[in-house]
Amino acid sequence: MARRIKKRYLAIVSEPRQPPSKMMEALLSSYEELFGKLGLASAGLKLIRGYQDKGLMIVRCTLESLPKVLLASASIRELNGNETAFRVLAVSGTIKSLMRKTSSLG
Amino acid sequence: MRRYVDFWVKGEDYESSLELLRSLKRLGFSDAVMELGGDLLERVEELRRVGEEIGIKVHRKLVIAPESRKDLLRALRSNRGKFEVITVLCKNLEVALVAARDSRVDSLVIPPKPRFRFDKGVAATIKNCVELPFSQYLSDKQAFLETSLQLVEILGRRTELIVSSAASTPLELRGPKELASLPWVLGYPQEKALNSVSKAPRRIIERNLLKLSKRYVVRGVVMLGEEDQEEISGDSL
Repeated sequence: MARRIKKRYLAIVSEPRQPPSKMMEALLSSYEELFGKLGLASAGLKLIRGYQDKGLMIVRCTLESLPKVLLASASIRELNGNETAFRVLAVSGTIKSLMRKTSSLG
Repeated sequence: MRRYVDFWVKGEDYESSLELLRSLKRLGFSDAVMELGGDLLERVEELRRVGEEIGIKVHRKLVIAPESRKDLLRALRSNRGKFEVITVLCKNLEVALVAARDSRVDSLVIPPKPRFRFDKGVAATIKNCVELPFSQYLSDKQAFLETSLQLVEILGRRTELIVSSAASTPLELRGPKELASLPWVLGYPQEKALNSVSKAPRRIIERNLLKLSKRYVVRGVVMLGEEDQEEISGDSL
């Protein structure tokens, strides 16, 4: 029987606030720069939700690629010509628990 | 629950240091080891007090970049009793070999693409932790990762790794899990990677705080007085 691929959801906020679509582009490009196209393909990175007003996005990736996604997001220094830092607020196995963790952080 | 330590933060002036401490608290750290520039060394007690109010313990760090063994030993002799943490930036093999085994050194930083080979010679003598500053990674990723991979391969099994931000602005700071992702990607298991931003630096700080306290006599001997009734962990001795 085929093994189910485990996923992880991450809530990432940018400092200062940036549009989620731009944030996702930056994350994908950072991941590709570090781990290549094959790595990017196997990471299963996907933008699930974006909150423009909060500069927050929820992305999904495979469990195996989680440390790589964390490193790729920490590697981002600039976006739209501004100095930027991505902060991972929470990591979870389901969107529901991710939202609970994120809302508890305020 | 884990308590996280940023083992290297650069405080350039009082206001920016406070800003850094607030950001560190928001990111989930409980301790900051600060390299204090300018007149900050004189205001360290004030910074500590404000840090306590914010929820961050502040410790002093000295970063030295000696040219030779003699310079290193001189700097260690004159500064060991004044700082909680001493880090050596190894510019050459001579300095790296001494810094790796001198018990007055807490951590050593090997620069990306060093002009010397750290191999079995360093590995055989190393007793101190190796520190990976994240700001060096951000400024030259390829060179940093190349050197870090070698470090993990050659020294990783013999000594502990510490990851610090080495940041001087809030936007250069990174969260503990983001810092830990670096050794995690380099091949460390998750727990060991998290230890590089929590247990390993905390052990050094606790050991040095004990050494700097008045009740420390010599290695393994501590005076028990009325003020210090708390249990002293075996690791600190």
